[in-house]
Amino acid sequence: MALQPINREQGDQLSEVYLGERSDSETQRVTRERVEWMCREAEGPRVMDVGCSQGMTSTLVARQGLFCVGVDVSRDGLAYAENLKRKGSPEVKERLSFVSASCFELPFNGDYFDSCLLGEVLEHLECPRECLAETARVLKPGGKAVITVPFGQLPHPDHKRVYHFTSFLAEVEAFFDPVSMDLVDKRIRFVGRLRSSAPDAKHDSVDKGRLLEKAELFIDALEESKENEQLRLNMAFDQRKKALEQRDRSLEHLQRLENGEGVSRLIREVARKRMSWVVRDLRKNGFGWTLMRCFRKTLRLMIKLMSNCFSVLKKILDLLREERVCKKARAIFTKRLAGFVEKANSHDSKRVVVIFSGTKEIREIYGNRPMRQTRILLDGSTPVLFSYYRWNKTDRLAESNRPLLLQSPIDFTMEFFSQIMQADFPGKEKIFIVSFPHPFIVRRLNELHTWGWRTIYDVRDNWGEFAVVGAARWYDQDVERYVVNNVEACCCVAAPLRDKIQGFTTNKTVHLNPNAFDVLFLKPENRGRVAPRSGPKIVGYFGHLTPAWFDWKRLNAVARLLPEWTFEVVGRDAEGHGDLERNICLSGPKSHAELNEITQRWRVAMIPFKMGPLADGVDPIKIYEYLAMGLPTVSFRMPQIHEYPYVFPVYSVEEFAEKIVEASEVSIDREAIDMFLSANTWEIRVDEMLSLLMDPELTPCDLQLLNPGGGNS
Amino acid sequence: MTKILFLYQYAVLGGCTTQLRNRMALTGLGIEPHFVFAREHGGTKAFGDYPHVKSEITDDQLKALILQNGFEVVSVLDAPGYLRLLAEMNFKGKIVCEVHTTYPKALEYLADDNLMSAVDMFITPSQYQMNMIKERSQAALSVPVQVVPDCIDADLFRPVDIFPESPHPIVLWVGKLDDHKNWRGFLSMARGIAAERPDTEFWMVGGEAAGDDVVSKLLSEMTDKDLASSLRWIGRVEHDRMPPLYSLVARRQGCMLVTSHGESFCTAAVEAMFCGCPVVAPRHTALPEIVCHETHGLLYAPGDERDAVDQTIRLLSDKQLWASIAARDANELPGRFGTTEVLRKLRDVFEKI
Repeated sequence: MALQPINREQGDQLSEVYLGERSDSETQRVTRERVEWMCREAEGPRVMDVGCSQGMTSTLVARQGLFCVGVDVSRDGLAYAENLKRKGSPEVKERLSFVSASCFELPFNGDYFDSCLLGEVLEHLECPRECLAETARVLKPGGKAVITVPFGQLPHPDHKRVYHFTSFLAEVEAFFDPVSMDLVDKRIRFVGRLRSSAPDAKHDSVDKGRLLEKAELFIDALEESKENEQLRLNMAFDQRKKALEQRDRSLEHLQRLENGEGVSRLIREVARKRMSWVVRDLRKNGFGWTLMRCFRKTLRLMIKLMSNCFSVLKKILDLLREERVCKKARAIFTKRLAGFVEKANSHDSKRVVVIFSGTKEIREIYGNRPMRQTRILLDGSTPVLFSYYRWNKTDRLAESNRPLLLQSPIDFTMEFFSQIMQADFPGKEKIFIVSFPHPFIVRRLNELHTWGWRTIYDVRDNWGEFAVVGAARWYDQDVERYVVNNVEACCCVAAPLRDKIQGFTTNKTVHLNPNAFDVLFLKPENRGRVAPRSGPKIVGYFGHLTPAWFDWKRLNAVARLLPEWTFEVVGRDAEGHGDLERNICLSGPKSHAELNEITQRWRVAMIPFKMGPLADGVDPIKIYEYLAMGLPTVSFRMPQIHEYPYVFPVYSVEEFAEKIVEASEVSIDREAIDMFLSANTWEIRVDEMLSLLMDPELTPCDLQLLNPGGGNS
Repeated sequence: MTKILFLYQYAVLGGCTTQLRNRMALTGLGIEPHFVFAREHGGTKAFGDYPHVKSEITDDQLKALILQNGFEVVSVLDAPGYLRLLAEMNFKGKIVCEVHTTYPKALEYLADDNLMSAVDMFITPSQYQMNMIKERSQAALSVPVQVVPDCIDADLFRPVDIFPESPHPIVLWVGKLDDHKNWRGFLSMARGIAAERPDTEFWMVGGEAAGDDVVSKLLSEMTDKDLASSLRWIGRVEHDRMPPLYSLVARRQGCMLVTSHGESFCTAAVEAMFCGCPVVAPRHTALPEIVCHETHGLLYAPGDERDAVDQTIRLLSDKQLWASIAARDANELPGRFGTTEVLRKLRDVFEKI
């Protein structure tokens, strides 16, 4: 009896596929839907995920509030799973564990689990029955088995079994009474209950006729695609063969060079070969012909050599150029930094602020939170060093168009961190605002305190949820937790986000500091305006359009329900939306001035974000701008804005459509809007944030006392 | 005036570099010390404008320097490469091999009899280390091995009383984030201490050069051990800020907890004690020579985390014990390990050679 462990390392990176980090979009979709189906079927309180791979299904089950144990033998998979677990909330961590064990010898007592999940496991086993028997052993009486296997042959090097309905049922029915069975995305989905007696001949719960119909359709489609597939495989094989041959030739060449066969020897060898060819050709074709061929071949060789030399030379030149550009930029930045310190000190300001942001450089068109905070500080004559993100070290340095502003790319912020930290600002309060919980900051955060800096973590987004949708890959929850615990003060833009961040710490109170209205957004002629209550039916949105949070699917459905309305969508990164309804109009990003024009036509504004933890942690700046334009807003669930004036929170597509109509008819009290906006300006927010450091309940970090002269220079 | 050259690998902040910096005061005792470091990591700053300090020089430049100055003694600290160089150039003066490190790998050269045959004397900071040298090196059986403790600048390391009171004691740990210093052990002990004294704060100082993987492990272990809200990691503290740091810990009626797997002296512990910050340390290597149990600190059974936790809690809870130890540390230890006393001893040792 072969009791081999599951061997699915090759190509099985379930979590990465699920999270969109690997594979094509279709495979990702299929994986997501399959995993989510399994999670829905899981029954608690105790669930086991057999062959958990990278732990995605187990993690999702634990997030549902069930206790889940993931079991696998793949070390890499379990390491990934543990890492994923570390990023989860404390509650999820408590409910989740991973165990390295074979599916043939599960290290649990019998009658222990309420349900067991076996997603794409059985087909990898020589003896699936042994695994099923072991699974049945640990299930409670009547416990649930949720199983998926590929239907028919799927190309995978480690598949040892091919299942069709009959063979699959024959395998599982010895242990489980079928509850349901289906064929979805070329996979058999099976749900069964642990049986207490011998199997029945009939399974009423399984609609075999429907399954066979599906199977036939699937097989037809398979036959059709076989020919194309074979063609594709042949082409791929040829390409691979060529590549391998090429690689072997290169390796041989390198080996010879390494063995001390110098270039001159190789050239001599080539020349010797050429000469023997020349002699043969001379005998055969005569002198003139041979000379011409010689010349042609030599020319071709020269061109090839030149081209190789050229590409190497180009690479060297690129590197040199990069080094030169960086050196020059470094010299410029050194000068700018010295100038900044000098200007800051010559200026009569109470404080100097560093904003460690992960955003782009400050430009007019971008208006995110750290940038607006910077503007307010500069308007109040506070010198600001604004650290921004850049992808490429050779990108030009951002200009600082305000005298008290220094923009510093993140690589320079890191490189010059000691100089920035140790710069002397006599008599000024030194404030360091972290708005980017980058791992680098962990290393220097407390050192900042020893140099008298006061620190705030400004949580402007739910980075953990951004990471889940693949938008903040740098994110590490342990880093954020460290930052929260080690800064002096911490604030968040939305109440649900504050609650989450508060869960990271017991040493301080996390405060709410929402976004705000920028008075510069509104053109003077638009002051006091309200949205038109009649005329063309236009509902609009402006902002980022990434499918990570913009709910194109639901927007499409809403647009279908309101065909007489035009849905105007303005912003960048509009992708992944598929076919849109005709009444949805897209346009690219616009400046504030243009938005002032465009929104005048709108009767209602909207925020169709996907409902979930990501949107729960948001306080979108656009809501203040919609209100400034006198627009009522319909938004999917987003708790922070539910109490804002003229916001219609909704929870379904139908409700969204209804509320658009209702919002278009509501009478708007501009005075109420103005009152709200004047109580929520960036000036107020920045003051509130800085005053957190004056809070009598705040415990200042005693490390500041190590700085000569006490808390500040 | 006798000219002595001290050779060391790295000019870093703290550790041996600090010991060498303190030896500048040998000038007042009839010795002109010169210092050469193979690599500069900001440590030569500590020497101010002392003229005989060099770093990042080539072997040829070093040979020229030795010939030019006619040193009578060259003392090599934990740097076998320099011993080889002296042997190569057939140095005519006396060679002293100073052994401070306890890292087993870094001590392998002691077994090289050829290399050791040129050595005229060993100097080491503790009795423990002396025994260890004798175990490893045949040469050490035929030449003198002298114990000269490390010295602490008592003008710099003294209690500073400028800090406000706080009900939260601090348990301090100082060192590199490596296995030898056993930072993981500290986290386990911190968890044990926090379970009984949840008002305690834990500060870890050092390890700025730790790799990203180590930092990541530190963070995840902090989370796993439920220490995220009570533990601070300060990768680097300037040397001149260490006395106020120790004084701050003392002001909070806290202590320093040593977890390392071996110390030839443990300068950081003595510095802390100079500032009135008591130490809890394992009863192994050179530590019992420095920390006299219940007089100058508390000792725990090596490898016994439970005992370490118990001793730390005992010190934090017994105010009388804490105060008597802190007072004795600050008052008595400068007489044993202060620069003046130790350098006199060092001068005597060099004279014997």
